[in-house]
Amino acid sequence: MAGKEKIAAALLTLVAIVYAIVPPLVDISPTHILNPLWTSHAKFHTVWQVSVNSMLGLFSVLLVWWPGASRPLRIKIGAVLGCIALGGFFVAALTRHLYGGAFSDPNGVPPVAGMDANLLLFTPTSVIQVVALLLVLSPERTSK
Amino acid sequence: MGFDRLLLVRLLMSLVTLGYGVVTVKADFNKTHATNPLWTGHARFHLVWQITSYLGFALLALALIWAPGPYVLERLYLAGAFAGIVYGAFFIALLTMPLYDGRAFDDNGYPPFRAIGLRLDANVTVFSALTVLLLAGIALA
Repeated sequence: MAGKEKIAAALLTLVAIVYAIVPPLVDISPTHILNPLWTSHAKFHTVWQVSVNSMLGLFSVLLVWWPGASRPLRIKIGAVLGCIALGGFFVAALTRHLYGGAFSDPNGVPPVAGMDANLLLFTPTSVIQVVALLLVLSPERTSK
Repeated sequence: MGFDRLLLVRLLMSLVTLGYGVVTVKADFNKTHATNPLWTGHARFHLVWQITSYLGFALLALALIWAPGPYVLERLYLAGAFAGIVYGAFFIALLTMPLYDGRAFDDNGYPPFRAIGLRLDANVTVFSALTVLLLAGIALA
């Protein structure tokens, strides 16, 4: 792996760890999956979502680091995968007025330093993810 | 892999991909899920996040399945892996329901239906069929 690709791989791994590990730690609790205010099927969907994101995070790390000729393509796919997993959060956030959505429930995760905890975590994570994507999509400079 | 077989695998993978990427949008962006009055605001938020992500994963998978270029077989396996993760996670959520008081449907959601003398859940029936198609696609690839 060349320098730029190696930096991107490290950033993608960091981001994948965040979206694969943090949500189960936060969401398998009375604030989400064990929340008495949530319907049973809403809980079901969140278990499904958390499981998908955790498996995709692990899968993304494998795509990035597994050796082989197709690794440059796989790193790009891993970069796009992370953007989609995190991008869904921002779609849900920006459209929440359309469906009565909320960043948290009254008995959910309280704000941290006056800011929603999800936003606080996923905003810098997404910036890192986009930087990694730009690194893998930008053409490699060749020395003369 | 012959042309016809490759086309068949691509069609199977596309069907399986549309199952989690498009059918879920149609099924869940309504009063049974995303605007269900019994769901809290944050539960709805997670649902919209989940389903829009699946739509994104599906678009990426369709590009991998149909785009021209090298690594055709490897790209098909990757698209199959995305589907395997989404459907695998569905069955994880299903099998662990007793641990978190989960259910495959809400009372104001999609009730089970009767077919061939059985009471079948809509989600389980559709996703089981799509999982079989996914396995057939992987076997043929």
